Amino acid sequence: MAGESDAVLEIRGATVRFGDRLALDGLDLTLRAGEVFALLGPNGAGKTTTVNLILGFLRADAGRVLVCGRDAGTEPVAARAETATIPEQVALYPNLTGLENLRYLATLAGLSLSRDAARRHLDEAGLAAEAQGRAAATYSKGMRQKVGVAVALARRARLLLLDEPTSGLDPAASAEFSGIVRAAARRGTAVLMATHDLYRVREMADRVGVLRAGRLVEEIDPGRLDHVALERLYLDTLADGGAA
Amino acid sequence: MRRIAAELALLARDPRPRWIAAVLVVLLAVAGLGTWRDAARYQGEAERIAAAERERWLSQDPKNPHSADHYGLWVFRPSAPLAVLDPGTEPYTGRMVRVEAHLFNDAVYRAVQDAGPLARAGLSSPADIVQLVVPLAAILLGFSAFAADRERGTLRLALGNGAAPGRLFAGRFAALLVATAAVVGLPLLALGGPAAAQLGAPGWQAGPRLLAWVAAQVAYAAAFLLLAMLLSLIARTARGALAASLVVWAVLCVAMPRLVTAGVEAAVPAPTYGETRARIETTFRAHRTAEASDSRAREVLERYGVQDPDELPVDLRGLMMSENESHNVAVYDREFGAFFAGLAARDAALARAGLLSPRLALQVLSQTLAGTDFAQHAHFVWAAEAYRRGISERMNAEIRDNPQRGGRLLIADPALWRAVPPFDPAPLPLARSLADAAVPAAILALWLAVLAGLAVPLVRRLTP
Repeated sequence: MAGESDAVLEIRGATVRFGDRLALDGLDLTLRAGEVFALLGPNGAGKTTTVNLILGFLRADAGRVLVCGRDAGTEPVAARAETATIPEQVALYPNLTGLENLRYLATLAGLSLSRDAARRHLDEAGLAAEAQGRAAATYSKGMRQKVGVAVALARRARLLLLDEPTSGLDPAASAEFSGIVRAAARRGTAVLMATHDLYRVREMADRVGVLRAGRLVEEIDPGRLDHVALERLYLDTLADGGAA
Repeated sequence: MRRIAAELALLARDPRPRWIAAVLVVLLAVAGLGTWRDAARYQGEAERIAAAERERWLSQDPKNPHSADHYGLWVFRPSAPLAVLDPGTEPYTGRMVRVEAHLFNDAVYRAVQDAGPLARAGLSSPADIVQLVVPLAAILLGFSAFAADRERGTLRLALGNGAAPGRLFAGRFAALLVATAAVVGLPLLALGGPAAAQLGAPGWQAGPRLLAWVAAQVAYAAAFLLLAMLLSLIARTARGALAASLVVWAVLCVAMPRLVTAGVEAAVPAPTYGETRARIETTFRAHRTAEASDSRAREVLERYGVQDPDELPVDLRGLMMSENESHNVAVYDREFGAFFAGLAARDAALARAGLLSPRLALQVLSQTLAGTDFAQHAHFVWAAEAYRRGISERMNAEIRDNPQRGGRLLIADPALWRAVPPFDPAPLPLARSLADAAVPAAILALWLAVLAGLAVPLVRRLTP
């Protein structure tokens, strides 16, 4: 069943429990094409749970998640077909090169990627040409992250999920990554980014949501995030260990 | 196809399949070359001794045909060409039968008596390797299919970027099946093909048997591959998947066949060879008393309406020998018929017990397709018995139809010996073997279907 006409992602009243613990508590969120939404919150606030819910790796105890009108709970494969993901820790097949990893993962997703096209995506993601032909076992975290970005770029998905995408990247790579995300958004991709990186949030996001104890407690206009506001946000959302 | 090719390319980078293939090839080659050497040696010996026996039979001095019948000769069971791959019951059932008057002799010369330590360890043939070691190879190929990806984090990246679990599973299974078929099927074909060509004899249809046999072995390996992949879908770590797979292997391939075989023996009682022989002897003793013999002689004279055996148009001794032979044949048919039927019923029960262990299903299927099952042995034993009866009948008819007066004995010349054709038994035809193979083949297919069916909900729920 389709939701709002131009919504790429719709989360309505999503509740997830792990035993007695409430991980998500009636979360509502809508994301349209071309929007970059940053989900901020301390550890345990429910950011990764939200990502897993959208990917259909978890079923909501109540509420629903629609990706391009596909219910992620009941049609996870169809919903994931519209989604690309870059997890916090991009893991690759160590015996394959970066180029081979990209082509293999693309094949699993049903795409046929020529060597040239794969090289272009890796170039765009910022992986040096010399590294593209090297076994992934020799890659740093940043290099693996770039292959993850290339996989996401190759997918040309309507929804891009980023879980702590800049964690472990050096400032130059982070800046490069911001540019890639913005370019994807300009092409119409909706981006949901779960992160701690407030400075990148200000750079990349169109909307910022603060998640606490599984509830979206505040939505902030990133344009109004000056130095003082950032510090307050840091202290309120990240430095308190998630105490609501 | 693109997915399978991608999975094969990924597999090609993994040194594990190469090591598994190398170990398997060595084990299969050692076992296969050993059984090939044994089969070639036996075939050579059998051909030489059979020719010598034929020569000995033909070069008998002139003598009474019944003496010639007692003179007897040895006949040999032709070894199945695919005994190189699976000797089955051949080493245990005897390969030579002494053909002589009155006696339905047991087959002797059991190859297992000369067996080496490898055979005693139960790893003497390629079939032993396939039944015990190939499941391990399949497990080593399949246990990490999903658990290692889950542990490494690549499963999250793949699923989160649009990989459909069903297609992922199917592609991976197909690629691993191709690898398994290559490391198992190709060495077996490489071994079985030349062996069948060298040792093959008309009537065996060794080519189709070989293809069906190799397909059965690959299907068996596929069952363990599926099993390992299934456990890999559930396990959180590759180590956990491997441990669980090894436990299941030990149960299905080692413990269950022993337990089930003992259970089948208890549940399906069959007469023993000793009991059968004892019953036959008891029946014969009652028939062979002097009183019983005199009574039958009197009955013959009455039948022909004469007082003196010399007045008979036939030879009394020849006629009585023929009639005694008919009595023996009826007893042998009844007793040995029941004996072989009992063992066949036990074999059939063992084939059905394959529902509890795919190894048992494969064991029966493999021997049947290789032509080394008990049915082939029973077929040979009855063929040797039919040959013996043919000789006795020919010798007795010669005596009966050439009555000698005054108690003289008929002396036959070598023309009579030449009238006995050489022993040339045909194996059970392939069609019969295929019919016998239907139940274990269906059970093996059922294992594959059930394992694939169990995989469906697990694949649907696949998460990183």
